[in-house]
Amino acid sequence: MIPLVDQTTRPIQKISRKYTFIILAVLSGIIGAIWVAIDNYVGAEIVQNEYAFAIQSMLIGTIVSVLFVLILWIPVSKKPLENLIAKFSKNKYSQTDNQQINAVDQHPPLKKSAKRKYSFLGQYIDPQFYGIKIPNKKMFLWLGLSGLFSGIQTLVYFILIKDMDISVFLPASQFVVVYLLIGDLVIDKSKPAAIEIQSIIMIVIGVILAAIDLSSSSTTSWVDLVLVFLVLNTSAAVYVIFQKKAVGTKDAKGKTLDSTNIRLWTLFFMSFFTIVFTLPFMNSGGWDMFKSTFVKGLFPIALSMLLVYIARIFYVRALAMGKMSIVNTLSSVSVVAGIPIALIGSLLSEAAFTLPEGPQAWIVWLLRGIGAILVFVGIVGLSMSEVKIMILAKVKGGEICDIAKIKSIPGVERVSAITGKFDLMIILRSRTIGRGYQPIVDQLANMPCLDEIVSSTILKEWNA
Amino acid sequence: MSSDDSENVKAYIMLSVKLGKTNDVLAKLKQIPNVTSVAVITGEYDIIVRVETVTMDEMYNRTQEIHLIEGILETNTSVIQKEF
Repeated sequence: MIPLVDQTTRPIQKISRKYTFIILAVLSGIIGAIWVAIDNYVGAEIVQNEYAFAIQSMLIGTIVSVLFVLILWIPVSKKPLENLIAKFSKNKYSQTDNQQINAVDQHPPLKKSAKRKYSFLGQYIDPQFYGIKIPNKKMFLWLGLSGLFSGIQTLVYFILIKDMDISVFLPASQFVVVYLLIGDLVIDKSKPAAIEIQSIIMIVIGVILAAIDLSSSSTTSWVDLVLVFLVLNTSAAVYVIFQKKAVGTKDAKGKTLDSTNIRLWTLFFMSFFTIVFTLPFMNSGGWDMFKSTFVKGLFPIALSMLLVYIARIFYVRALAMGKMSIVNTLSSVSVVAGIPIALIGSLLSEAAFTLPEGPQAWIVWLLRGIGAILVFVGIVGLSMSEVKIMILAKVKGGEICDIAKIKSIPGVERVSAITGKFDLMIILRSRTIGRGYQPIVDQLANMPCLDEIVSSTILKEWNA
Repeated sequence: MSSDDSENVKAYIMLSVKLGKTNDVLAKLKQIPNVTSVAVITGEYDIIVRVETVTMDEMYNRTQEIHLIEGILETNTSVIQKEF
């Protein structure tokens, strides 16, 4: 069969995998700060009922996101159209298998015109995107559970964003990193490395410093803080875990779902659950607010939800490349990004963005500056510590290797049975070269079926 | 909905590269169709390339293209039989 698009001729990324990972996670954090700022403004100036705001956002967000995905699906090269014509052309289908193979194989060696191109517009932000796809049952389960917890998180978000200062909300919501790091450590069954502890402490302290405001009359209550730490961060952590599961789930052909589709389907579930959870709180005043502000709030909400969608595509892409805790830690750059955004926002709306005032204002700015530096240094330390290793292994004659057992070793990402000098190619990912690497290699060396192991560290990698 | 009903032929090609030629070889490898991943590694080989094609014939063409790149001293191709 001729595939609709040849998924292997998209361009190799110019930026290496490690930097792509950092850029994606950091970008998702920066865009995240912008969307929270827009929501802060809309909640304070336009839709002042949090439940009406939540329902409006979900409805507008779903429509805007579907339209956005349809735009991403626009072909940018002739290839998808040519292949589509070939697929439905009777003449081509009446040919023999050999002729079909020859039709596909049209790349003479070192042909100048064989330039690698993207097939769809959406591949510029998500190279894996090849149109809307229906997930399989298992993916549906993970996406549905992601949507459920995202729905809880979204409702709490809209309740908090109304009263809470953006400079307090953004840092407080980053504590999900601590929950996720504990989760990663439990999954890996290992202790954190010194660099990880050091980086996370720097980021947490940086976030706290950036959040301290001695001068403004913040309206944050204890109930809000309980909601942030016990409900928002917890549901966010569970959401990330299910998203990671959805990212790693393969279909019958061994393919994973792309980030754009994962976000689209999560959004459907999230919108459904958010609306279901919000409806019991809606009173007549809420519905009146909903009707009277729908048109006025349309543009800013649409913009905010579009930014959410783009940020989430980047976030899910980063999630497919690295550890949950590291992705979230990198995204916490939103705290730093929140400072200039709040400054610009205060020019538009003083009600939505309150700035430090009075004689202690300079101390607040100093603390925020130190906090920003700590977050950046922590991010660099944490993101640079992860290593990817390739292991080639020979299987002993007369032995059958239990691949499932190899795959179950924490850190093993992929196992391939290969031809040639070696029998297995094992790709593994370790949080640091010192902490994770040796125990994994030791476990592999202890496998009775393996005869010889050769390991190579991947120094730099580029992907299509 | 888009479809993808192909069962691709996949292979890892490990390359030894002449000293000082790594960047030139990397740039040329990135232009070859069906190359899905290029990585610089430590150890016996310098670069590992992952190639995914629709047919074995196409895989042969891609390996030939790689062999013609100036600066490559030795290649070792391992076809992936199954992935877990």
